[in-house]
Amino acid sequence: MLRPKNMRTDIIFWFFLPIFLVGTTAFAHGGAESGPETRHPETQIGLPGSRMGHDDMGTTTGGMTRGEVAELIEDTQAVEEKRSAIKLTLLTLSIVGLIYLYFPRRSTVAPLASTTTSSPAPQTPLSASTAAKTDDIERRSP
Amino acid sequence: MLLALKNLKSELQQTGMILGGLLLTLLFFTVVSGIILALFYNTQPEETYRSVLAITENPFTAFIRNFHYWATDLLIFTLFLHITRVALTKPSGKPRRYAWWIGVGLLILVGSEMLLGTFLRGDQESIEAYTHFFLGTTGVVASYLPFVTVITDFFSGHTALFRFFIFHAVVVPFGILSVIVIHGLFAPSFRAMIAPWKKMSDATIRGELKPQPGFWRTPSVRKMGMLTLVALVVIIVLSLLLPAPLLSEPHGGMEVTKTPWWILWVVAVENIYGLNAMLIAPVILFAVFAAVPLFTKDRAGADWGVYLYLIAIAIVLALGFWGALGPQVPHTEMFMEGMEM
Repeated sequence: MLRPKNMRTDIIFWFFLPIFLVGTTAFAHGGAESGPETRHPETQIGLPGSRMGHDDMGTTTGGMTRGEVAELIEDTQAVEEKRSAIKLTLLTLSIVGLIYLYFPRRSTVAPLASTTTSSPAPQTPLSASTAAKTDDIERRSP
Repeated sequence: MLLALKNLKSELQQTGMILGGLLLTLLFFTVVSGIILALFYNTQPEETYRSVLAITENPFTAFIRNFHYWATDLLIFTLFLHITRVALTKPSGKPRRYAWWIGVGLLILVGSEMLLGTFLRGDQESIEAYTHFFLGTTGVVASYLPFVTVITDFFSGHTALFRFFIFHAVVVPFGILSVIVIHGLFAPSFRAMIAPWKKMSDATIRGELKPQPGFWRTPSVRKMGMLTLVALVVIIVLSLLLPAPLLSEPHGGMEVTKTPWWILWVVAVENIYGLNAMLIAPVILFAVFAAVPLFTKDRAGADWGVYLYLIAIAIVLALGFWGALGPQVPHTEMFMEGMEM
């Protein structure tokens, strides 16, 4: 059941949402309808080289072919690809390490019948020493 | 020998618990290096590439740029490890669930911040990243939600780079810091880590900033100090040996580069399903991450929450490798050709 406070929040939300949607749609109408020329990124951002406009064939920009531009960045790109593969390998190995350290295993010790209701099961695989140290930190705080 | 291994495992487990603190330190490194870089960066589109080129030609600013690049890389790397550690230690119970969901929000913010950083480089990769953003919003999302063009229009034209810069340098970092505070209020290991600062004495209230006896010997503080030192050394060494990439001047209308490593998994999905996948794939990943606590049970042993996360991260890594090692595919060129037909 909705409480009055929630109802008020709901009414405000449902009142503003359609107004916002209709308003922004009307405002944006011109931009969305004005065709591919204005929707083209090169006519929008002002980076040098990109200001040349879009070639109909999409093959040349600023007098350079796609192959020429690809050649310009070839070496740096090759280094980056290698670096990316190394970083992903390191990340994979680190995640495997974390799985080894923290994967939550079921306790192999059978619970005592009398204490199962009072003591909750451990939530993390942290060792007893960690728990003791954290307790120590908590105890020293007021 | 067995005891030594057990001790090492215990030490590593405790170190893994303070990765969130390391993220704060790395964020501090990126903010400081970013502020220095901003002093030499020019947001005038005609001058942007030249200013970045000038930064790379001066040894000091080049080092700061490399430092910014590697600190950011280490930040996203540690972020993945931190999320994995939390998923494995199970975000169950109200505070940890909230911490997890706020953490997913932080992940989105950090991802946005890093994308904005790519836009600002002013090189070929920069304009290709912008083209993806522009076509994704105007060409795809606006077909369903026309009001999205309001955002695209705001980030278009001669002032686009300046606005991206303001978002990258001020708006998003401020958002990240604010959300970190809320995240910290819920995260148990973070609260345990800041415990040494909790203790108030009469002297502290009077304004004497004397560290409490034993403060520096607190395990969490000691480990944080060590981790910070190691991270700093690693970043400095990498910055000196491996410079951050800067490609050629931008040439619009063509796509010849690949994205940074942490987003290559999206590139692999784009290779299969086209440009539209760029918008859908991250949403699916964030939705899966957000669903993890819903499948996590507050009891010992692995459950579907853990499995769901591990399957998701395994797919992301596999797609990342595919994106890195596979051929470069021009998604935006094909999309624009389709749009003009």
